[in-house]
Amino acid sequence: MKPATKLPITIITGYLGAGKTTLVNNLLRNPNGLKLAILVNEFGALAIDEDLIIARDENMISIAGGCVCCSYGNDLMLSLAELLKLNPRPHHIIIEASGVAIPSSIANSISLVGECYTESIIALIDADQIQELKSDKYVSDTINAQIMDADLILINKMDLINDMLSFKNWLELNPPLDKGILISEANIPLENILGHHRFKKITTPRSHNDVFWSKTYIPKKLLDPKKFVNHLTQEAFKLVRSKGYIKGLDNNTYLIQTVGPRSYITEVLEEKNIGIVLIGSKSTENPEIIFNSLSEI
Amino acid sequence: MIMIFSAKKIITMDPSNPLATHVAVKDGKILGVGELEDLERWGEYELNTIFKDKIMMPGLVEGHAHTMEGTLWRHVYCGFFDRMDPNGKSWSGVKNLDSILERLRIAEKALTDPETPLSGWQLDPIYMNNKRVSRKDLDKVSKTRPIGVLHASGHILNVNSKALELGGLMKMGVNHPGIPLDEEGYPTGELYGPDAMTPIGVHVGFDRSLTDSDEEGLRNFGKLCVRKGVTTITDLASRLSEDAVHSMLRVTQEENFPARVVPLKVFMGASAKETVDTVLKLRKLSTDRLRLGRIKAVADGSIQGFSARMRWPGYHNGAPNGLWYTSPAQLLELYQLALEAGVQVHTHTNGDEATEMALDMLTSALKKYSNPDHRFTLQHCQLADAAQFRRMHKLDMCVNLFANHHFYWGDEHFRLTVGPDRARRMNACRTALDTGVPMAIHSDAPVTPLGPLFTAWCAVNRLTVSGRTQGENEKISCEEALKAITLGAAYTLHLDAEIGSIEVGKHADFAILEDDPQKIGSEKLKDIAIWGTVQGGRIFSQADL
Repeated sequence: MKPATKLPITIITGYLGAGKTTLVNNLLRNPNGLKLAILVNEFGALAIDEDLIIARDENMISIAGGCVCCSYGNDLMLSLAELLKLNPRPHHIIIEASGVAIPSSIANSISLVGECYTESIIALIDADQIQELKSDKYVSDTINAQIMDADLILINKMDLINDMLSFKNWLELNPPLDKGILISEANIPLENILGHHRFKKITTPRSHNDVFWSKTYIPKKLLDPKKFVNHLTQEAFKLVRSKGYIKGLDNNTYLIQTVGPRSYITEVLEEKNIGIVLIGSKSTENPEIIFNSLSEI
Repeated sequence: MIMIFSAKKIITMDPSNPLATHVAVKDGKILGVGELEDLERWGEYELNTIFKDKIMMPGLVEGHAHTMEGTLWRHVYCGFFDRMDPNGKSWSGVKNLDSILERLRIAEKALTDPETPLSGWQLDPIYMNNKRVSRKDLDKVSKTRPIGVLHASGHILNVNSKALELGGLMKMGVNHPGIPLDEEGYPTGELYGPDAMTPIGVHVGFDRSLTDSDEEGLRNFGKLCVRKGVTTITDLASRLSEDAVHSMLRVTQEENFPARVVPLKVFMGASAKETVDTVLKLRKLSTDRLRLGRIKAVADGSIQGFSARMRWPGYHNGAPNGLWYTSPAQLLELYQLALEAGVQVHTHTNGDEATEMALDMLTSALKKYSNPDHRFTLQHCQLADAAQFRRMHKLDMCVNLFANHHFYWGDEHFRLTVGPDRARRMNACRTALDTGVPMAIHSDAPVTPLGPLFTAWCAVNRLTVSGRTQGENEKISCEEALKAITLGAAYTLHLDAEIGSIEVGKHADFAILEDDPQKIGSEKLKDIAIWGTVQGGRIFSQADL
């Protein structure tokens, strides 16, 4: 169980050119009420879109809506400690890892900091480059480690792929890339990749209907929360996100959240409407099948 | 005013005039070298005979060191080998755990404030049958004061229970590959790697400034240079923040600062373009004694830490391949921008795959921007094979090999990390010279002690700590080693026109020795006594520091 006071961290991994910076900027543009703190390896020339910046000093950029962006250079742990001292505290931290960083190592380090936890690791893949990188003399092992560490894989720059059929066939032959969500211009709504208790509800914007489906499941009985999320996160479903409330066997209310294979259960004291929103992509199992299996738990 | 120094013998390292008895100095530069009568023609002079019984060499050049050596001496020395501090005190090596604890206890008693952390450095369990130090061992020194001892590698920190408690890790269930647990389920007190070290390090006196020096540290570093005959030294990976640059400018301009410092800006935490732009700006701030304007990139990790990138067949003990610290794509971008801007890049490569990668990236970059005489240098480059040296030669690269490493960890490399074949050819000085690659050799101080004459001894004898000769065929001659620690290192810094030999027009930088390195015998090179230095015509005696 994760106490709500611990700060969730999302690690974004991916080689140079995968679109990490674009993704971060997209998230900052539509933070959905969240105060995001972004930790980037370096302030490159184009780290943060200029129109989002309201102030900057050597180590921190302040962004409209109460978000901040810090560079951590060669000392992630120290920058993280400094970020945790911010008042008011951010709601969610996003770490943009360097192109050759191993994300599970970063997650290991985060586990040493009592005040935060790794919510998920997201691997961003450049669709146009991935075939070449997977056989690169120097970095193929690093790229594979990043992919294997990921809870959620986003295959970006799909607009650059001409022969869609052969590319998708290639993905099928290279698991777990076959479970990747296909996107372009790093365009994916924040609530689909970050799990967060502050969201009023999670929705799938109309513009993404071609990529995602979203449906609400309302349980008819008391459930063992742990058993329920284990069922929900099973690999065969390939669910992207889920969030909502259920009644436990003890008749208490529980907040359930999942991001890829990771799940979080939090007991809540106030009364909530029972129901879970599930979000899947086109590669996800048919929602009817998932719903049927859920009611059999 | 002209000052003429007489010496018992002047080894000039200038092939056209290899030996002399007198050198004339004016305005900090060498006016002439030869017999007294050659020099008298320049006019009125003062004859200085303080070196009449000494041997004079070009001031030694250390091409790969870190100024943090100057600050580490604030912590208790816990190394296995005897080592001299900046004030000239020789600290005896501590040979077992009890002696380490005893030395820490003495230092602990001298601390009056009960909360001041106690810290030590240069621990190396390899020389103590690999016996690990635990938090419980350090608890015997104090249970109430945080204690931390940094390993020689700089990549492992040992702490006591109090330090773990302050860092919030004195608990069961810690799950981190860098934090081993004891049979009770608590951390043993050994912390591996920066991510595990940093959260506790701040409580025991080791914080982020570890690789940066401060003003006092830099002054101490200068003193060590005099004691080792060094007149030009690098600070090979500095963040070079604005504050750090200004404090370096201040200290090196002090009247009695005895060395020329060459700090390289590390390529980390900023884009390639930003790094090149910063260095171009810094270059304009250079003074005679502070030479800015070069970049250091780090391709991979270390061999004994198993983080170096290795080609097939990889590590001898089967450890998985190491880590990239900089991606090939970033290194390529840096090389292109630096070649275009005329900025020199030194690249740390330990494993042979890292060396191969750097060679590939420079090959590509040079196709785009040719830059004659770029002198891009591979640093450490410990496992390069003959074919890679041939490529370095083709690409006009230089190399700075880690000769000291061979002595301190050669046995480990033979037994554990790379096995006999590659251990024998590590730091292949003979191959480098035979292939025509301009070469320097280094200490990487504080990783191993500063002392170019010791480094020369390592390259000439190739002995390991256990006394084995490792790599007979990679030995170089005494003359070649002396060149590597003077002109060789100067060349890798584009400073060979100014320093590295005793020649007309160059800076009056001399190492003043009590013994003759050309006569003492190659096995005794490391035992040569050093009187001090002359730097820019200024006399620095060890005795007066």
